[in-house]
Amino acid sequence: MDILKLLSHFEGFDPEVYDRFDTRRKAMRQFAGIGKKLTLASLPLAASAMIQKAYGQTNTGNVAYALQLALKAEYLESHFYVTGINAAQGLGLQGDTLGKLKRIGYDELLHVEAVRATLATIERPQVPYVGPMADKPAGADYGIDITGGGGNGNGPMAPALTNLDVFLAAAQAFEDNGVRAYKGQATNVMPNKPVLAAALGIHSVEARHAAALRKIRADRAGVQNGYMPKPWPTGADPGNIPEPYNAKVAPLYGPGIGNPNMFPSESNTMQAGINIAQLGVTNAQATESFDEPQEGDTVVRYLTGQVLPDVKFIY
Amino acid sequence: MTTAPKPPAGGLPRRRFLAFAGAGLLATGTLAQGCKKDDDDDDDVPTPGPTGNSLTLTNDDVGILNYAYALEQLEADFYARVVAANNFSTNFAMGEAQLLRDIAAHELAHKEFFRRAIPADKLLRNLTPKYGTLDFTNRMQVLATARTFEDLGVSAYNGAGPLIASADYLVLAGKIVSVEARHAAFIRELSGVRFADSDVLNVDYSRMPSRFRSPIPNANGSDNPSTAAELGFNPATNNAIEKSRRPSEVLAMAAPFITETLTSQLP
Repeated sequence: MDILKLLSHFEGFDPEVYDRFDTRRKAMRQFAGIGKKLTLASLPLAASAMIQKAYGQTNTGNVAYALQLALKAEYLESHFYVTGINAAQGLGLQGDTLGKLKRIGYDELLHVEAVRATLATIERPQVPYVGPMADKPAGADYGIDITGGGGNGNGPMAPALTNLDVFLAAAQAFEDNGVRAYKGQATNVMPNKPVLAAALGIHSVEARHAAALRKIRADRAGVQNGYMPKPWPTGADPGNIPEPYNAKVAPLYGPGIGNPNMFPSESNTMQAGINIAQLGVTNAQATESFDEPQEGDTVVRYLTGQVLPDVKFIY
Repeated sequence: MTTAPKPPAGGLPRRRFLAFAGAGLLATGTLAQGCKKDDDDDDDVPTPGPTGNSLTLTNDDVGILNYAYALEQLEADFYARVVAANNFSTNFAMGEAQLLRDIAAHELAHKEFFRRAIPADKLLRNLTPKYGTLDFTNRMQVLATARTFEDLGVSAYNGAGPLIASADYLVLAGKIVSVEARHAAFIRELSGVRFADSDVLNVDYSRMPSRFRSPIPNANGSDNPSTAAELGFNPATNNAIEKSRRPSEVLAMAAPFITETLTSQLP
């Protein structure tokens, strides 16, 4: 591996590449130091680790990180659906809509098993629990609160458990977020082809769920004047979600916090330098044509209350 | 250093992107076309992209991009005919018609994107789709064909993903496949079938439990978490993971819709 060539490649599309390694000289020294310590064969790996450090988790693989994140998202989603299905009577959840939600919930429960089993071959899957922070059982790694209350069970999304419209809106946001989160991990699982294949196969199911939930909500709103929300996000709009809930889920449709260039908001129309809005479609349609990935660390920050302090699904 | 230009939102400039991904240099002139100033984007005709000559799908990233381009050509042509059919606005309610027009626009955007992203000297030819006896004025026939195309498209992108060498192309394929999956779910619901079923997922809904239990242990021990056994989980056949298809399988299914004969070196 020619380090200088590699760095100049990065310099080509990222003028700040040397800033990311502190300084050019330091970058050279870092690479040179590695060269002394390691054999030539392991050099590419060391270089890729340094590049990964400089660029976050975007350019090289991190299968365990991706699967732990996926497992968190699947636990959260499946627990949410199970809770809703078991509260169906109080929610007024019945008939065809209940049938669809049971299928979605079952899919998510199977995803938990699939992700957990795959992750277990790589490292210990983190274990969640449900309950107050003070009651954390031995062996549990983190708590999950589907109301976003950080363990008090009474967060801003608590009305989802008594109001079907809020429940469906929250489900839509969870699914749209799931699509972005899986997409954001594609490059992390890329080195492991079986895991990549499984992740892609879950990713498209999350997208089907998202579209199904959006249609359920549109049908409930009445479609005489058109579907609202549409089956896909338009711009960075969460999709016909009333306040105060809209503001609580809006960051899920925004840019990645750590790397907004690599993870733009859902309103993005530039793909590989091509402006999709100039290809004979409207600007809105251009944003709809491509779903954007979300940065893993941004998903984690959001779920753990580091984006909106009063929204904490994981603690 | 702060004065240095940043890469545009959405990733690398196209020319850098292709060079970095090892796909070779673009023919000059296409970049200027892609960037042509055009503020009124409602009813405008896209600036023409290059016209390809190839009918071969090589066993590399360019071949996979051309493969996607072939499928997007089919979808774009199909939906353009759907929304132009004589009785389109009576066959479909206003809300449905709007979403079908949106889907037609998404597929056009995908097609035109690939046309500009693939190096012109390796670009696949403009294909001539054919539809046999399909009646574009028949709602159920249109929806059945749309469902076939969308479900096939999702399985095609999912199957191509692990074959892609460039991380940038993988992400781009990911950005498109979830939109196709949203289309597929919506079209299926319009057709009167579920957004997904065992025809497209590895799933057996007959194993769905009568009582749903959370997979998460409860701190107060009020309920045992669900188990893989009670869910009927099977790592190969019941995991709710979408089925994928290899390019050779997809191309065999798409061949009846394409007048030209494609030569594929893809697996």
